[in-house]
Amino acid sequence: MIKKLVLSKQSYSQLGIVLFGSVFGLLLMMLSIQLYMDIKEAIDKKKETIGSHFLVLSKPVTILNTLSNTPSVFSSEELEVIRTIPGIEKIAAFKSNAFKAKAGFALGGNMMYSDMFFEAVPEDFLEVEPGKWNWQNGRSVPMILPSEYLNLYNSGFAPVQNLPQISKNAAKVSGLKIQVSGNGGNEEFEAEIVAFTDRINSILVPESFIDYANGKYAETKKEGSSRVVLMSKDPSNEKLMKLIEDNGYETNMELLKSGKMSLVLNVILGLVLGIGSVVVLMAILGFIQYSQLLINKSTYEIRTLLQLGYKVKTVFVKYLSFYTVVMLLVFVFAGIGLMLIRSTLTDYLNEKGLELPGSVHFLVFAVSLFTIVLFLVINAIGTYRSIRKLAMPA
Amino acid sequence: MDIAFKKVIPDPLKDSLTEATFWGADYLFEKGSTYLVNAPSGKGKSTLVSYIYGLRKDYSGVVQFDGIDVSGFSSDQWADHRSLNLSMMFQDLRLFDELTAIENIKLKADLNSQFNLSEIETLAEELGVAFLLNKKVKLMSMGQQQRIAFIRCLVQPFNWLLLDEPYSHLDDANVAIMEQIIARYCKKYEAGLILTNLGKNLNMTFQHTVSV
Repeated sequence: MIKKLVLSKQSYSQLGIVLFGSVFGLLLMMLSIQLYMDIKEAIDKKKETIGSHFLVLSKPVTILNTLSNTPSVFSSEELEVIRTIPGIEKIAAFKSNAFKAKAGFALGGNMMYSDMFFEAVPEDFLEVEPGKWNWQNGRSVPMILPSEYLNLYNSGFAPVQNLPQISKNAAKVSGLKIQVSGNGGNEEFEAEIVAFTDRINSILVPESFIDYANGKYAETKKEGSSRVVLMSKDPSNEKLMKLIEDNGYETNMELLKSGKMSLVLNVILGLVLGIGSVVVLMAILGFIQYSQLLINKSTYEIRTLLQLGYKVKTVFVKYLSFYTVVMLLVFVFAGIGLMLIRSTLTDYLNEKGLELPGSVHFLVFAVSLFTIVLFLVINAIGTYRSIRKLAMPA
Repeated sequence: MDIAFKKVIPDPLKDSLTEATFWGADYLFEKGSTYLVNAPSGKGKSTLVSYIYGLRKDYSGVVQFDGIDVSGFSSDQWADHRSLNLSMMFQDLRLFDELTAIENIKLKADLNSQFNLSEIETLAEELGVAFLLNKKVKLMSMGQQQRIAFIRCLVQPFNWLLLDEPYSHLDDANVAIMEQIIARYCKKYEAGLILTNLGKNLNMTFQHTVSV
């Protein structure tokens, strides 16, 4: 009955506006923190795939290469020039196959063979589980494929050919075979995909496999390589950039781009966080005004209750419990909003080939809970003071 | 509990007060005695009970409960006095219009667990307002509201019953009934009575008359 008396003078339209503002502000805050964490994790994960500071350089292909059928390769002088740039830790040329190769996939019950090429880089440029990347004759050949290949198959090839789509995990366990031929002999190997990468646009196998097969089945000996991979403390260092530009080397700028992209994203998310915080702050102010208004409208009820002998605490608790329920509602609604937006976003980004980590970050809850408690404390102090003022003799 | 007024002068009367009557003098309200406060309008009858009940403190001088200055009381101390020690019927009644009569009364009774519904119903019967108990206060006449407010101030234990013009909207028959009930309850609690009156004929005899 006391609750009914002191909370009866609500203005539901005003309460609704204040509630909407709080939910909106809190949601913006939660979302910006969550997305910041998501993107940070996604970028960290990407970096881990092939290490943090790797860059692949390719020689430019000209019409001359096409006409003469001689690939343009890095000379040892060129490699030496790159190696002397400060900050470059190591550099290695790609090894490629000089034998004929076909890979067979089990698709819809049939084996489907396709001509293939393979390349290898030293193991210390890759971050794969130790042991998985060793190949000895008699064991299955581990492979790393570009994520793009699977995307191409799933979104382009499979629907048109009426073939089933394959997830990354399914691809890793499906039976693969590699046929190698040349020099009048041939041999078949079991193979397995151990990882997908966005970094190196090639089909990677262990060096030991390339060496073994090249030695046995290569008909001509290949000189040089058209691609090198390098490890640098700072891939965006100026000297390296100038060298790449001067020689017209092509590079996967992804790492550089993603570095810049994450900077831009951080700025945008910082902005969203800022706006969210301002909206939350305004919502808190709005709530304080609303609760003052509510108390002002209920002055007669509160004063009379106190004059009948009710304690300030008794009346105050009614308000506090009301605000607690309201703020929990705000928290729940903002939380639901966050989940909805995030799952939509995750689906969208998955379609685009970017995987977000699964869960809502702990920090999001911590910050929003802190905000809510802050609101409650600020509002509680104001409310308590107003009620006590009504209790004292005039 | 004795209530002492020591040279109390209300701020609004400070300039117009030429000689000390009640205001500006010392006066003791003795435990268990009955006091009739008589005065024309505007001389501070309601002010007197407001000071005792802790509603106002716009005065110079000292008000004491058993020798303790009330100006230092906290809001919780006042709350305790108002639920156990002092019971007041306000001149403007201060009922909740949107609540029913019984809800208004229960709001007061809930402060102490010793009052039951049958006691409230008996009082309502005596005062002829039993049929109104479940009606909203805003639908009642002033005389009916006055009797509801009167019942409300009886559903708690008290040392002092403070009635501020309790009969203003009542006829003589109802005044007589109310006087009987007042006498009964003051006896029950061995309580003192301070009643302010504006020109009503009263049957009850008071031990003291205070002129302000």
